[in-house]
Amino acid sequence: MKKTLQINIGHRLFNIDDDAYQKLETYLESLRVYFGSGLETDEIINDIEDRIADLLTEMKQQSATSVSISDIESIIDTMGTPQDLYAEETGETGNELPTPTKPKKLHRIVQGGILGGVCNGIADYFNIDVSIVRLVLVLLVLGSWGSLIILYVLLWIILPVGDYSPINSPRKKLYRDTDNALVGGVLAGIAQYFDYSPRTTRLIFLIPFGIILLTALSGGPFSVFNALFSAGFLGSVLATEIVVYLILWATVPAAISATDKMDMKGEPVNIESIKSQVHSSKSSANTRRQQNITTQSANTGCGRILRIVFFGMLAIGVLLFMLGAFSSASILMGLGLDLNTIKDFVFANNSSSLWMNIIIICFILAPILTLAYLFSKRGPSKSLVVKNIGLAAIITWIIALVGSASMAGLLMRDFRAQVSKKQNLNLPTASDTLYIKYLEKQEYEIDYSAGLQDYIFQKNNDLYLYSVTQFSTSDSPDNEFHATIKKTTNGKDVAACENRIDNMNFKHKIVGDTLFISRFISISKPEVYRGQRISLDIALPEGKSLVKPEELGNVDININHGMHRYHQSGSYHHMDDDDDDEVI
Amino acid sequence: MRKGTLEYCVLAVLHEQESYPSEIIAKLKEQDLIVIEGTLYPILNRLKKSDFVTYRWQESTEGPPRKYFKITKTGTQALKEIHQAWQKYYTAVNTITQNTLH
Repeated sequence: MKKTLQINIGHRLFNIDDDAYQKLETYLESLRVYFGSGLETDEIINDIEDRIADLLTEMKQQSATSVSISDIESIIDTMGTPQDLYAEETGETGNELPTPTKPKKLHRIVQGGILGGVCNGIADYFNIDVSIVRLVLVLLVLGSWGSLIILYVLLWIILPVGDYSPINSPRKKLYRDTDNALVGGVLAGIAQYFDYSPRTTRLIFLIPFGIILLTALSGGPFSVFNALFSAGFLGSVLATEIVVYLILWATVPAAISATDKMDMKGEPVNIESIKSQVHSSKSSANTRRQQNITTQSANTGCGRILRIVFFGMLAIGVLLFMLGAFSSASILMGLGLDLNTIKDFVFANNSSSLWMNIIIICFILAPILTLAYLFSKRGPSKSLVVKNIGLAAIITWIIALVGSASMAGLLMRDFRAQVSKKQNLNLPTASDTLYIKYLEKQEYEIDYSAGLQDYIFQKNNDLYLYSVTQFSTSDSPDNEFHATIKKTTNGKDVAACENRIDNMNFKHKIVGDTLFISRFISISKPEVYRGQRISLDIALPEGKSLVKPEELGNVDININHGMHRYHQSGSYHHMDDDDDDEVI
Repeated sequence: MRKGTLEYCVLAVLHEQESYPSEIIAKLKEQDLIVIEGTLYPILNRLKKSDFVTYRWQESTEGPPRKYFKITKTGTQALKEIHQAWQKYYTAVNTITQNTLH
């Protein structure tokens, strides 16, 4: 005697044995787990149930018995177990044609790729997880300020489209573990990949933040900022962590279906493991339900604090990233100065100055748009908006790279020619000593640790450049002092250079036995900076001496490299009666 | 090689006639093109997601309403393209094997 149940499958009623019912239920549940959760799965399962109902109707037309376990077994044979379906989908069956092992080739694998399948192909070639390749690529591109994207484009063009190589051994795949996720499941997924507990990866992730917090707490009230900005190293580690997290969140797929989860854990896909997966997800759903009834622990206590900490770190990370972007943009100009005040003196006209603004904005927008695209692409619907974000990201990259390259090219062209013009000054020989003094009354202290602001600054419509970048002495042919002022500039041709030299203002005057010189050359708009500089040579007659400011000739400014050096020449000696000035 | 072939056949069946899953399976089984029936359903789902097929519910004389699948314009276009590629492939394989096996 057997217990019989009545079930409704595919809108039809059947009498079914109890053990047969158990078997059918397990089978349908394993299919549901195999296809993953979602609306599409419900639809597929409904269709399959319809078909099962059709098959049962056919079987039961001959005999009016109830559905037995052997009936269900034959139906499972007809429809296929998840294992059969998996083998069919991936083509991993024994009755394939034997493929001779041939040397692996580097291909682009578009299927399953994000943009052109380049990373996918590289991952397949080296048999590593594609997420790791993507992460390395994105870091390289961000680190090189986008220039290495050319490498990607080149590979995209050069590599032929191919398919996954068949001989890849099964391996663990990196997924986001959304079951154990606090934020995006990235750290939990990494933990699965390396067989750690999620707590370990989270703790490692929080170390830099913890150290910053500890230093902050041990100091005064404002030390949070101090700790953040003085601990530049930890700050950048933190910022990198955040960027890496966002990249992984955007590129690593979530483990949704049972096969995903088994790939994540590196387990083989077969009916037993799917079954155990079903049971564990059932029991975890039960415990979760219980927890919700008692405490709702996921949303209180530790979970909530960790989430708040993470989003705090995220905000700080984005802030640091933007700060870095802006400062890098100004260093990009090689001047280390406030871009807005100085760019009028670098670019010949307003339109190229406007272009520079656009390029800088593109450099900031491009990585943001790229991330936005990667995130939005993961959603279920590939709408027009998503496509347009991707297009916008590509366009901003192109504008930023091509624009800055052509801008640099145009600027280089403006530095091609170089012309120098000498002006000889005759100096009176009333006394035995010549004094050189600065025109500017205020004692000018050079702070060697400061940036270039001491050497280039803007006042009203004029740009002031530190004047004498080279000072030398020579032997006088006669008994008199001679001074030679050499003005030098670059330009696109000789005529432009000569014109530019005429526009250089360098104030100097001779009063008695003193030569007064200005510390600065000034140039007025619309004149631009093209390496204008002055060198001063004093011809010394025998037996006479020169007293000059210590600073003169001791500061070597190399504008082109955005840095300056200080060197002390050993040939000078001090006079007793002078405080600061040196005498030759 | 079998991958994608089934999609091609399902599209062809639906191009000939609007059908419900059991009819499609019967036609494919006649030619031994399908062994595991379960594989059809994810394929139908994929085709529907790519806008190659649509479906409607229709009352049946025996039992509950049935889901009738129908090929769309894009589906017909895709079928033509696959068909051309397949013909090219088929002739190529045929030429090679005839020359070597005779």
